[in-house]
Amino acid sequence: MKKIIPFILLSAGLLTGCFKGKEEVKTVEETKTPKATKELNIYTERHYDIDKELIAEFEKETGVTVNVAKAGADELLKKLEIEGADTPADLFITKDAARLGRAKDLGLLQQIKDEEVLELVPANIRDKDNYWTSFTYRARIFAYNKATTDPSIFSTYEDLADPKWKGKVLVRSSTNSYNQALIASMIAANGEEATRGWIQGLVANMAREPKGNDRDQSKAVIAGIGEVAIMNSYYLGKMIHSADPEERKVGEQIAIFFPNQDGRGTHINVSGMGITKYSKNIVNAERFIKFFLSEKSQARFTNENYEYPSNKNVEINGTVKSWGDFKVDSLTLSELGKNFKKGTIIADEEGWK
Amino acid sequence: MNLKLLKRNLNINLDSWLFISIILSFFLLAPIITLFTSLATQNIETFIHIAETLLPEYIRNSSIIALFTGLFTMIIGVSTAWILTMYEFKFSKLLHVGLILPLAIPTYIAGYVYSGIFSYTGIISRTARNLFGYNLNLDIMNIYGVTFIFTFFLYPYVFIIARSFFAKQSLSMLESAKVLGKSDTQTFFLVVLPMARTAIIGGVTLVIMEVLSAFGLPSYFGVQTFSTGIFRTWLTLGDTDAAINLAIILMGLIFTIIFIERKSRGRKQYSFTNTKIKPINKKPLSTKHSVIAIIVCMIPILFGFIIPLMQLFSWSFMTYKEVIDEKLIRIIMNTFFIGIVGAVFATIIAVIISNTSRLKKGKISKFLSKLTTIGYSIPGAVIAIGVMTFFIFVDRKILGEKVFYGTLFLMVFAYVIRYLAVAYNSVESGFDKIGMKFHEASRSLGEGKTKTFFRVDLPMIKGSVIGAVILTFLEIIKELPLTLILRPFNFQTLSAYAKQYADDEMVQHSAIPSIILILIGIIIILFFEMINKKKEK
Repeated sequence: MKKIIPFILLSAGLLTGCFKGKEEVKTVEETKTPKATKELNIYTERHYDIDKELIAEFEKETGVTVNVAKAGADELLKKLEIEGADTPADLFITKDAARLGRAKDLGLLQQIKDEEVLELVPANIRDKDNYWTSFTYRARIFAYNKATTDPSIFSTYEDLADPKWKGKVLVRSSTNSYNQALIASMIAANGEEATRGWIQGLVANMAREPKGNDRDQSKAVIAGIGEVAIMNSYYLGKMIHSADPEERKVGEQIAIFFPNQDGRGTHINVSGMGITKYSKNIVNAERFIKFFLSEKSQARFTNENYEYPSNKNVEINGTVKSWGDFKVDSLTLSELGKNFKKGTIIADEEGWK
Repeated sequence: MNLKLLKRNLNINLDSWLFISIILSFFLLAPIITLFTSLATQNIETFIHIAETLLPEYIRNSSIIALFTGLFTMIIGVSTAWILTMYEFKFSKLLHVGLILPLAIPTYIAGYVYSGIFSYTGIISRTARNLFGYNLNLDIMNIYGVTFIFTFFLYPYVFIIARSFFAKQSLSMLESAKVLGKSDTQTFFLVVLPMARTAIIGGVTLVIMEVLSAFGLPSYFGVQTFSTGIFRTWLTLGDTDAAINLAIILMGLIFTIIFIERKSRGRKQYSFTNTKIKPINKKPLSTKHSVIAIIVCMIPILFGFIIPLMQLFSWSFMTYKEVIDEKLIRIIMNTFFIGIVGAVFATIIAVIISNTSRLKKGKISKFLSKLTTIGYSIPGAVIAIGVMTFFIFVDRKILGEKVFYGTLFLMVFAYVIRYLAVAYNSVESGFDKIGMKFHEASRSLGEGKTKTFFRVDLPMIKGSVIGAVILTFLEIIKELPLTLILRPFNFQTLSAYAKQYADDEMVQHSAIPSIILILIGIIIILFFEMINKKKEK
């Protein structure tokens, strides 16, 4: 036993030594002048393999070292907020416009200056003041069973609150960011009171208590628990190409309907990025945005991750394209950040779990 | 000048153990206190909203889950521990190890697995559909499912503690009961259970605290609890005040539980009455009874280990090509590194504080020791943000440059706060068991506190100390929200890796990191068992 104590003390000493070492490295890096940087620090909510691969390619191409911190968008946002001017982050990447809008409102982002790059992205899927731009998006669509449902019964998100859908609607929890963004877009389009009414109707029509993820909603459609599932388009692409044969089977039985085509268009979830206000590597951040929006990267996003590319010059993947063209609800995108807290509270009050 | 007298006086007033403990407690509590200082009471709109609409549900769900998980883990843990202590039957050694193994599986991974098994494309529904043409609509993603999973993956806490208590039980007590004409069952309920109460309640309390602060599983299953509520209020609604109010209520709840636990112990501090502990002679079982015993022990192993592992293996066959690469090695090393560092620190601190509170009977040391273990009841995300805020403050205002922030130190610090209770419980039970006799003997021979600690106490609680390191290590490598928030750039761990795939609705891909995490856990547990065996001999 006596031998153990000095060992513990020694190892504790060594470990603190390790920390010290790391800290010193850090401080040395941080005192470098901002212009000559060879690094880029990213806070991202996205953790797809495709992102990983593209980041590695960016490093190879530019010689810039990319450091990535991944966590939920809310955590990262809080981190940015607490860190303030001390933040190491240069880029903030999320899977929904609401968080980007919020980051903008909290003064955590700065404008993207590179007009040339911004022009690749249609104005309706980037921030109106250029604080962020999308690089991909997915549609929040209705999924139904090809074999049993005639899509002519579908029309709008609003329609799902109609009593005729009683016991037929499948949707996941309102704690999910995709749904929060959807609710925020409803507020932007129809106002608070109408949205409250819509949620009341929707909750009354639910086939079951909200549970599971997006894929689970479509599985429940095929299982006959409900008739229509609100879900994200890209999951269907993922299911059709799943490693699990049972999932592929479900994916093949599902068809997609794009709601609100006669009106404002279908709500989308954008994946977007913005440069942080206190970025110390602005040049690299801009290079990265350019790289992510390049035709080469964009083609991979759509072909490997079944997302819609934001670069208007890029061909959409075949599977995704087979679902048809649709009109995007772009009016509300810049408003999401403002509305989503209100929307979440209304959803709570009206019992959308 | 009477130097000796002065020194003695100083010794009494400036007890170095207490001094160090107070300093440590201060640092451990600082991040939590930091949070509270940011509490403003004017803006309570969101909190009122939550109190009116969600709080009743949070309270209801959290209480139901905690109560039933506590009850079920107690039943499973104590009964299996008792069977294995008292009876000799085939495979009993194997079952003993098997019963601890569910601890290697994080509850959120168990959640992914069971929701997969029960889903429409899962093995059960698929078989029913493809073989019998029957459409089953199974559902496990509800409060019962959460309770089920917590029960089958957390009962080992009770099992381990109960088992080690039973094993150390003085045989004479049991023999006396037998001589007085009590049956095995009567002995169990009348003698053993009351004696083991402290240990069992200690284990159940750990389970309940774990359940109350768990975030991953309930949020994946869509069950709203305090923990998911705090997370949501804070991060999604962006309302710090309301989140802290919720956290205070939760902590109040936990304090109540701890208080009840302490009260239930009352003055009954059993320690061994003599130095010789005669091992219990196990009773061999007949074949029929052996089968029953094996079945009883197999049920928790089946649900808590075999089934989930089979599912994970079948998923990894689908996905290994995409997931296994050279980066995985690095991720495994990171996981080991952070786990060991965190566990060693937590244990050292636990030993210091626990020894202080044992030697210093005053209210302050008792209070501090309880206070420092409060971290176990606070959701990881909350601790993470407290630690962040605190160290940014230290760096900016006190040191004037970035020293701590963004380093692994923060992560380790937060782990210590979060899991000190785990280390503490193990160490404390070690101290409880040896009692004060040996310590007092050494002191009466003129040895000081510190010398006695190193030469008498520590060697005697060695097993508990190593146990503390192992249990804390297990907790840390499984930990999630805190890890996600505090890890430095490019620092990936197995738990975070698994979670990312699952979040992305790519549960099959999370199988490989999950399995590696579980294998590490298993190795660690087997090691733990080996040490325990040695200790018993």
